[in-house]
Amino acid sequence: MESENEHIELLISKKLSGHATGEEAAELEYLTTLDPEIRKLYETSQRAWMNAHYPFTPAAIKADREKIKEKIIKKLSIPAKRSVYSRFLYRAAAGLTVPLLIAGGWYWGSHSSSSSEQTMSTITAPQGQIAECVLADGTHVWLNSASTIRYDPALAGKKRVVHLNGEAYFKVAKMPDRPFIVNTAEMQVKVLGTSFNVRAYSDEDQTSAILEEGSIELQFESSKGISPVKLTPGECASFQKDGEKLLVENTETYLHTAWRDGKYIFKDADLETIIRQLEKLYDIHIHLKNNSQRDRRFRGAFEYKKQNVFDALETIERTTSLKYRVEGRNIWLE
Amino acid sequence: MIQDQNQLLYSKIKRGDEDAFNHVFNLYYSRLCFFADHMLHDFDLCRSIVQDVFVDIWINRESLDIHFSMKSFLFQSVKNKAMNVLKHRKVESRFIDEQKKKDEPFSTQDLIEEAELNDKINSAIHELPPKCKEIFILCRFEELRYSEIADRLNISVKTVEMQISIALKKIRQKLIDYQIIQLFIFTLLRKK
Repeated sequence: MESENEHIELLISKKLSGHATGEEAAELEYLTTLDPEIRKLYETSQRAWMNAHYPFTPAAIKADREKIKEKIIKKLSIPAKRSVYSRFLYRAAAGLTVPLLIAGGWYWGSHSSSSSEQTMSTITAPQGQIAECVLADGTHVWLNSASTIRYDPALAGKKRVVHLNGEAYFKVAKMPDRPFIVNTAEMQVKVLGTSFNVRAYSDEDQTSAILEEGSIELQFESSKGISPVKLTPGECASFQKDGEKLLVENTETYLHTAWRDGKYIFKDADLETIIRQLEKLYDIHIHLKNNSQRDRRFRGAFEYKKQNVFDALETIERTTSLKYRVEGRNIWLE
Repeated sequence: MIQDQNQLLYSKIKRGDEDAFNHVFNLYYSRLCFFADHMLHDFDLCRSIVQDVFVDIWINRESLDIHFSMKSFLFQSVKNKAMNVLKHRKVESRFIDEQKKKDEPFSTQDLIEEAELNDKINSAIHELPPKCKEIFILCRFEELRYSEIADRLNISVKTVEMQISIALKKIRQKLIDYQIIQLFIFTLLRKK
């Protein structure tokens, strides 16, 4: 009896998995017509076989629970209020600049400066914070840590001009007859309506622009002798300050714009670059004592909203032979 | 009774109780993913939209207004999101064509039941002994021949045959238990 059951089970599973020989299939058919119990057994097995979905593992489900947490944090920290307030405020205060809060860290003020300059507005993202704002023309600006834009609040005139020190991502409102211009110390980015990232920290060796969509044109002071360059989407132009050379190459734009999501992604970055980044994010000074790791390249991602500087330092410790030591806001890596 | 418990969970979530939220997640998450997959046939996408439904619930928890049960609210929200995706795809999906042919709005209830069956089988698969589970997955989802599985795992074809039949038997057993429960609830409802 035992082995007869076993035999029927084998026939059923072979049939369902497509391994039954003609003889076995015929035998099963004969048995199911003969005995309603066996028929029922076969039908339930068939249901189980057909309705089996590719396994969804408990581990994957757990990971998805974390994913929900991440999405909630992301939504609460950036866009949720923007959509309501930006439109409302933008209309209510037409012609005025409307800075918006994200993650609690921006301030702005209009300061009337020397007589020659008209009243300019300034928006600053303090170290370790991102600021987001909508300008009077509807252009959306995300300011990265330790970055400032300065501009005429009404954006009046033929050109819409914004001065940038630091890094910002722009989603420019389309106005074909009024070009949008981002001025940095080294270069000018002229735009018609598009999304792009400009990185122009005065303490870094290079200034760069990354175009995500649309088109932009880079212009340089005539003294630099570089003719204007047009970028196509996906291109990154970086200007080396010391050699006064411009390099244009294709890039994965997300590497350069992930900071808007509170992430830094490194790909083939050297330790120096990573350290400079951490300094900007956390308002600290990192002193690299030992240069043996200079030529190594690192890849990885860092979510600075969720991880603190020690998480980053510990990762560096694990992947290099360096150890860190903290004294106030100074950190020694040796 | 079930309704009461749901009501309780719902008001706890409204008050920001994360344990209640986790409880609802554990109860329905995988089922909702299977449910969406019947419409979209893209499991990763389904996971993402079901996650979004949970995100929305948590973020808007204070203004949450659930008329029926938490369960029907969840399935309805996922269905709405899935239908939006289908609309977005623009291409007339196979699913919509089928709907038209049927000439009736497709039954959420049927899909929920199918998803519950998928979910039950899924947990039954994960409860199989490790070796048995591995062999079953290779056969059913990787669609390997018995002989290929035997080669890969360095076991005999006879062992593979046996393990597949054991797996199927165990999964079927779980299913039968489940159907008995379903039948039981069904009779209870009819008595009312």
